[in-house]
Amino acid sequence: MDAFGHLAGGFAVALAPLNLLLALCGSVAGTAIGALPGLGPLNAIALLLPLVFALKLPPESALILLAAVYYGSGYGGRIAAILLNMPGEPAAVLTTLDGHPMARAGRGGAALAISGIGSFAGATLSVVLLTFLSVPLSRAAVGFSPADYVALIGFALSLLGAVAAGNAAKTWAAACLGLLLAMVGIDGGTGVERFTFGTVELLGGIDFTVLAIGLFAVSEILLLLESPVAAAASHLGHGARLTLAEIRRCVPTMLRSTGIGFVIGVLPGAGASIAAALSYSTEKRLNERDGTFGRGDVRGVAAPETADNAAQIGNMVPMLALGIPGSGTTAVLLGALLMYNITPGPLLFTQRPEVAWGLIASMYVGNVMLLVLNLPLVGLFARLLMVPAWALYPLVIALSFAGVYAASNSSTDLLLAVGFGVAGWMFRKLGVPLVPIVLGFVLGRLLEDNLRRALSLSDGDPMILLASPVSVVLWALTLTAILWPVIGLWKARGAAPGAPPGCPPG
Amino acid sequence: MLPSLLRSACLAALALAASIPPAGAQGFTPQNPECIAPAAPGGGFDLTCRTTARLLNEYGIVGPAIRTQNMPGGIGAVAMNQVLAQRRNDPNVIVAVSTGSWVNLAQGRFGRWTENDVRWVGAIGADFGVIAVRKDSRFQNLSELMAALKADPGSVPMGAGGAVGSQDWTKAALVAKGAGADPRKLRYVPFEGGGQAMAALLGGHIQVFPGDASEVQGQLQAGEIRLLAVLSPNRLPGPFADIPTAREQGAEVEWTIVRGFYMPPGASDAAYEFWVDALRRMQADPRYAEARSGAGLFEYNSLGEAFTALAKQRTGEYRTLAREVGLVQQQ
Amino acid sequence: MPAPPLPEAAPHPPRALPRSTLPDRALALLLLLLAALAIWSAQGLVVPFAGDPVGPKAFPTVIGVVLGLAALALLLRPGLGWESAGRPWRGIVCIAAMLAYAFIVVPLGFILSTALLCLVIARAFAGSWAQSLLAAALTAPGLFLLLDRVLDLPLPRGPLGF
Repeated sequence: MDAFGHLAGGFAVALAPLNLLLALCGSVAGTAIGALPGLGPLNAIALLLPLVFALKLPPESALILLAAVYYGSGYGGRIAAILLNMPGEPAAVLTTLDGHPMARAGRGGAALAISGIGSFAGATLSVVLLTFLSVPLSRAAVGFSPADYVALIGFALSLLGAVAAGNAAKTWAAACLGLLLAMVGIDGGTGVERFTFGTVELLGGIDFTVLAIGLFAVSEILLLLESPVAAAASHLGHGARLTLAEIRRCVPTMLRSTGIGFVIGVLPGAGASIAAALSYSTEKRLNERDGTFGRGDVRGVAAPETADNAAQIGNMVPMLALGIPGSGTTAVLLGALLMYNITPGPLLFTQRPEVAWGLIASMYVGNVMLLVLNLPLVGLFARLLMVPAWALYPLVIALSFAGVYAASNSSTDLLLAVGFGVAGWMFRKLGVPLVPIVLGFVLGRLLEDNLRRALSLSDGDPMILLASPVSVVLWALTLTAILWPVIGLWKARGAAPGAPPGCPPG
Repeated sequence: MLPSLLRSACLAALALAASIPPAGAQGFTPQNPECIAPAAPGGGFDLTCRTTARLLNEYGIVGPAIRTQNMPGGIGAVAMNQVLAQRRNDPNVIVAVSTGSWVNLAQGRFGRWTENDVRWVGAIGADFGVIAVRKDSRFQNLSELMAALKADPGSVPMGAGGAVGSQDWTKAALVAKGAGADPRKLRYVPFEGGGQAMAALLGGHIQVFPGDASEVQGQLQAGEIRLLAVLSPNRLPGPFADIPTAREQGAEVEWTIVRGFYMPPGASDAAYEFWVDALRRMQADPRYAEARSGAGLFEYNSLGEAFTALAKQRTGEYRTLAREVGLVQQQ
Repeated sequence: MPAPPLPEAAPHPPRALPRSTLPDRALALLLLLLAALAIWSAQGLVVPFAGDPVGPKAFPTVIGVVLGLAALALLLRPGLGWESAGRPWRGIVCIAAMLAYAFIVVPLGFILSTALLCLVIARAFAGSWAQSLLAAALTAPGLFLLLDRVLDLPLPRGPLGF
C-alpha cells in the first residue's frame, strides 16, 4: 500500500479550513475536559455526537473533531495530577509520583511542560507508526491470547515494587486491597455477585473515577487541612524552568515509553493504565542508581505521559484497521461512524479512504496544535496554585463530586468517594502507598478475567500460560524483574547506602 | 480565575432565569423531559436515549429538549431502583431498556422489582443475534456446530461480551439446548465487550462468537468471518440477506435484542399515551429508517400494550430458562 | 549530568508524634480482619454451575491470603510513627459535610447543597466568612452552569427549580 500517497490525500482532507477548525475546537475541548477532575473525554464526546449529526458535518469532519477531543484529553489529564496530586484517570496516577513532588518544589510549570512535550512526542511518533504499520500490527494484536495478557499483566504487577518505595508489607497490602476492590460486582465467569453486600448499586462494580477522587482528591484535602500551613498552600516559589538539558535527558525515556505505550495500546484488551505503569517502572528500574525517581525526576513525568498518549493513538489501530474498539472511547468513535451508515471494519481504508486517512492526517495536525496551545499556557496553569486555598479547594471538591454524581446519578458513589477519602487519609498517615491500590484495582480485574479465560480455553491445563513465545518472553522478563533487586542488593552490598529497598510483589 | 468565575455566575443566573418552566400547561406536555440511559456514555442504552431524544426533538414531536441522564449499573438495575424509589410518579422521564435488562430482571438481579412494576412504553427497533465463526472455521452451517455441541458441549470454545447468565451467554445456551446439549457444559468465555470477543475470534482463541448482527457487519462484509445463522424470525436485509435463519436450518433458536423504553408506574395515562404516541410518530417518519440503521437497529414494531405483553412474556421465558439451567434457585 | 535540585519542600511537614508501633499494629490487625472477611465471604459464594475451571472463589481467596500474610509481616515488624500535625478537627468536619452532601444533594438541589459544602470547606481552609460566602456563591452556580448547561450532564434541581 502506498501510504505516502494516501497520507497526502488525508492531509488534503485534514487541512481543509473546516476540518482545521474542528481539530482545534476538539483539541481545546479535550484538554479542558481532561483537566476537570471527575470528567473524561467520553462526557464531551457523548455531548458532541448528536451535535455533529445535527450540524450535518460530513463523517470525516465529525471523526476529526471527536478524535481530537479524545487525544486532547490526554494533554489535560495531567494538570490536576501534577499541581494538586489529584489524578483523574488511571495513567495520571503515575504522573503524580514525580509530577507532584516537582510542583511542591515550585517546578509545577516545568512538570507541565515536560508532560506536554512527552504527550506530543508519544502521540506523534505513534501516529507515524499507525500510518505505516496499522494493518500488520492489528493482525498481530488479535493473535495476543488471554494467556499472553496474563503474562503481560503479571509483568506489570511484578514491576509494582519499583513504583512504590517504602515498606514492602504495606505495598503488598495496598495492592491486595486494590485487587479486592476490583472484584466487587458481577463475576463474568459465573454471573455470581461478589462483595456487593446485596446492594444493587455495587452490581456494576466500583468506578475508577470514584476510587481516584476519594483516594487522592478527598484525602489530599483532609491532609492539607491538618497541616498548619493549610491556609496558604501555595506560597511556593517559582522553581527553575524546564531546561533544554532536561528535555534532552528525557529523549531516551520518551522513545522507550512511546514503544511501550503504542504496543500496549494496540492490544484490544489492554489499556493506557498498563502502558503508563510499565513505562514508569521500566524507567525507574533503568535509572535506579540515580535514586531520584519518586522525588521529582522529569523522566518520571515524561514516561507515563508519553506512554499514555502513545497508547491512546495505539488504541486507534485496531479501531481503524479492523473495526474493533480497544476501549470505551474508541467504541464510541466507531458508533459515530455507524451513525453515518459507515460500517467500521477492515474495509474502511479502501471504501472510505477520506475518512480513515483524513483522520490519521488530522492527528498529526491536532497534536502540533495541542503542543502549541499547551506550552504557552503552562505558566498560566501553574498559577492555579496561587489561587487562595479557600477558593481553590471548595471548587476542586465540588467539581469532583459533581462529576462523580453526574456520571452515575447516584448518591451511593458520593458516599463511596468519601469513604475512600477517609481510607486514603489514614493510609497516607500510616505510610501505606496509594498508587499500588489503584494499580491493583486496574490490573486486578484484567488479571483475573484473562487468567480465567485462558484456563477456561485450556480446560484447566495451566500449561497454556506458557504455550506461546510471547508468554514465555514476558514471564522471563517478570522473573528478571522480581530477581533484579535481589541481584542488585547482592552486587551492591556494602556500597551505596540508602539504595532503594527492593519490594517485589509478584 | 476569579473574574471568569464571576462571569460564569452571572451567566448562570441568566441561564436559570431563562429555564424556569412555563406554568399552567394544559393536557400533557412534558416539562424538562429526560431519558435515563442505564449505561455510561457511549453504551448501547446511551445511544438508544440520545438517538431517540434527538429524533423526537428534530421531528418536532416533543417540543422541549429531551436530556439524557446516565445511570449505569447492572444493565438497568440501578436505574430501575432509582426510578421506582424516587420518581414513581414522574411523567417526564422515560428509561431505556433492552432484552439484556429482561434477562437480568428474570434472574432477580433488579432487587425486589419485577416486570410488573413499570409501564412499558414501546420499542424503537431491534438487533438480532448471530452465530459467527472465522472464515476458515471447520463449521460450515449451524447443523455442524450443533452436532459438535451434542457430541461434546465442551469441545467448542466460544465467547462473547457478557458474563455467564447475560444475554450473550443465553444465545449460546439456547443453541446448546436446541442441539440437545447441556448449556452448563459449554465452554463459554466472557470478554469485556463484543469488540474483544471479536478480536479473540479473529485471533483464533475462540471458535464461535454468538454476537449481535450490528457488531459483526464490518467483519462480515470484509469476508473475515462467516455467519452460521442469524437468530431472527425472518432473514435480515442488506449484507445479511444470504445468511439463513436458525429456523431454516431446523433449529428453533431465536434471539431478538429489543431496544425500547419504560416509564415509572405512577405516570398518568395521559403521559403514558403521550410517550407511546411519540414513539409511534417517530417511527412513522420517513426519515426514521436511516437514523435507526445508524443506531445499529432493524425495524421492530411493538408499542404500548403489545410491548407490555412482550416484556412480560420474554421475562417469563427467561425466568424459566434461568431455573432450568440453575442460574436461579428453584422456588 | 547535573541532577535537578530536589528540595524536600513538603506542604504538610511530617511531625512524627510519639514514635510508637501502635498505629502500624492497629493497621495490621485491621488488614488481617479484612483478609479474613474477604476469604470468608468468598467461601460463601454459591456457584450455580462450574462456568470455568477456576471459579469466582479462587481469586479473592488467594488475594485474601496474600493480604493476610502482608498484615502478619506488618504485625511482626511494624514501622514507627503516624504522620500527624494533631489537628484532625477541620478534616473531620469536612468529612461530615461531604457525607451530608451525599444525602442533601437530591432533595435540596445541586446549587444549594454545593454552596453549603463549599462554605464548610472554605471555612475549614481558613477563609473568612466573607471569602467563604463568596467562594460558595460563585462555585455552586458556576459549576451548575458548566456541567448542567454547557456539558449537558443533568444535575439535581431541588424544590426551587435549581
